Amino acid sequence: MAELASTSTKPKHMAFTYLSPLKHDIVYPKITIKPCLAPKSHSSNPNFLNIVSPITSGKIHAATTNVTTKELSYQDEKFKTQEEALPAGLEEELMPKHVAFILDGNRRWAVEKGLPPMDGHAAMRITLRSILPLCSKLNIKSVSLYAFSTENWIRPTVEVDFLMEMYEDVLRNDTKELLSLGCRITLMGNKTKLPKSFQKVCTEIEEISKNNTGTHINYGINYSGKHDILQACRSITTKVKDGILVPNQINETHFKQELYTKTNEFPYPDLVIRTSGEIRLSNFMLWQMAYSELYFTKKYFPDFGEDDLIKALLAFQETRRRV
Amino acid sequence: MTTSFFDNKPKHMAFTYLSPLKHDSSFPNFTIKPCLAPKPHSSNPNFLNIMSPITSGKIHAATTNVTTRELSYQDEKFKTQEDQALPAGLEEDLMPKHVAFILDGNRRWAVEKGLPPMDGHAAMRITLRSILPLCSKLNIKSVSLYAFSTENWIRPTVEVDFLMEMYEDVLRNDTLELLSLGCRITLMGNKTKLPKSFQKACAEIEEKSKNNTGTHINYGINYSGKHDILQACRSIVTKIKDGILVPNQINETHFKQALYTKTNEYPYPDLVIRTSGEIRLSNFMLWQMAYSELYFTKKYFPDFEEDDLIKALLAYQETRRRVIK
Repeated sequence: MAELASTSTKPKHMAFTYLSPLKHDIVYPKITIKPCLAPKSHSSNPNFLNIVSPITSGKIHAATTNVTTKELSYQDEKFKTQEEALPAGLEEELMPKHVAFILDGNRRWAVEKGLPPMDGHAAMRITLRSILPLCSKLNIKSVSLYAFSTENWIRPTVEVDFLMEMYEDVLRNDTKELLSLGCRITLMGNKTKLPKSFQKVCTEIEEISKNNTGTHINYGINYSGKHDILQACRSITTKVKDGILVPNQINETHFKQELYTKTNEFPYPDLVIRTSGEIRLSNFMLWQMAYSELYFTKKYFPDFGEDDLIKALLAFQETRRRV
Repeated sequence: MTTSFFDNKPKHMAFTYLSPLKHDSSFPNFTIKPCLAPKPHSSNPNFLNIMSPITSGKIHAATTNVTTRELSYQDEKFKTQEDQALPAGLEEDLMPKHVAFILDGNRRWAVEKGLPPMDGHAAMRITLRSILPLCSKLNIKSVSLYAFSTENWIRPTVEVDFLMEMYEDVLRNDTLELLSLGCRITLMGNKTKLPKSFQKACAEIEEKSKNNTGTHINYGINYSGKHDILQACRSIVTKIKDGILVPNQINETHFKQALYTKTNEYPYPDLVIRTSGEIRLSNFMLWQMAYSELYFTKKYFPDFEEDDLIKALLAYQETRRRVIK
């Protein structure tokens, strides 16, 4: 059973339904889930405090710990130094510069494990904590994540609030390891609709990491491809109104410089990985994915491990060789 | 061989690719009629490839088998418009309204058969002649085709010229059958860069069919998704300049009304089928495909048959059932 952060007596039952963000600065150990019941305005919602039996809480622990400890030790073995050769026959020159992930299947993963759907998002967070450093160690220049779509606002309020808090905590805490690897962190999406504290964290992490030269990790939050194109179009029309541009001059470069990916050195994904078996774009980076290789896997994202990433990269390299 | 085709039957025929007919002969559906019309680029030594009867027989065999079989298959299945049940367990209410095709693999198909690459395009044309009427008979409301991309201009001049002539002939002749099925024909792309005769053929067929209520067949010629978005942006910008729109007001509906698909009743594909095994979008209808189901098949497009279309539709319906649940 996982320990509670700050209580003195060990409770017989724990509210273990999902991972609540920490409100105070605790060094967050990588592998253990530390639930924390911070009182919230919506905690009057009877679903918020699900008293879960030790068996179920043990299930979460097992379901997530196995993945992370296995991968963590695997990573430590393989990547003792930065100069390690790429694993499994991957060729340096054929590595994709920019890999994008459509993080799908969290809720289905949880439901299949008999867990509440939102635990799937917590599990996705844990998987990201192993996949992102892995991408950095594989020297992938840029990683984009479809974390929260503009269409996700219609989900139940409890879920939306949870995701907002979770991602804010991700940007506050999970990025520490990424920063230590020299990663640059940015947010891709319409920040203005996010909670104020979230916007503040975004600004801070973008500022702290803006000169980093490692992997550029691009969190797509409140993002959608059409919205990206629309806001680019709006900025272009403003430029035309101000006399900077003439309508007939508008070309692909102008667009590229207005999209949310304008500060990316490699704005267009070479490889897009979608989990959970759906074969759709779901309004992800439509403009930027014009020539991306698409890779679809039936695995749900919480189950996506290092081997799956290597498989996707090998498939990408195979296609590159052929083309 | 520069003698006229109709004077004496040549021992060898220039059978490398399908030359467009310059005279109005009724074009039988399934025989290739080569015609050597003199053209400005016929000084190009590659233009007149003299081929042995064996090779020309190969083309004939390679393409005829497919077409005659499908024609009889169709005749059996679709005796009248009224009593056709959808084949193979397809459900009416789960049919996609709009199916788009990325017509890939023509040249590879030809090379694998030991034919010159451009014969693959001729073979694609023949496959389209069975697939498009089939879509119409399946009551698919809209079909879009990625026939010629803006990026295809960089191909060798001989190939580009051939494709331009072929597609012009498609719009002039192959559409006759589609018109008889009540199809509406439009071109999706930047017409201004096309040869004048081509533009004329486009204008004629669009005018002739504009009130038809059958399947809307949308030929993507000189098209690309980014180009579509850019020209939509430019027309929106013009509206801003004319004071009709304010920048902050620009929304998805304005874009939808400015894209090349603005006259389509169903502008967004429900299902996109890409042949030849490549798993990419290749700059096709990027905006319009935001929520499309994508279907990838390893078959080259000239080999794409009714069964493959049914398979794709079944897979689509399977996904719809799952998502709706």
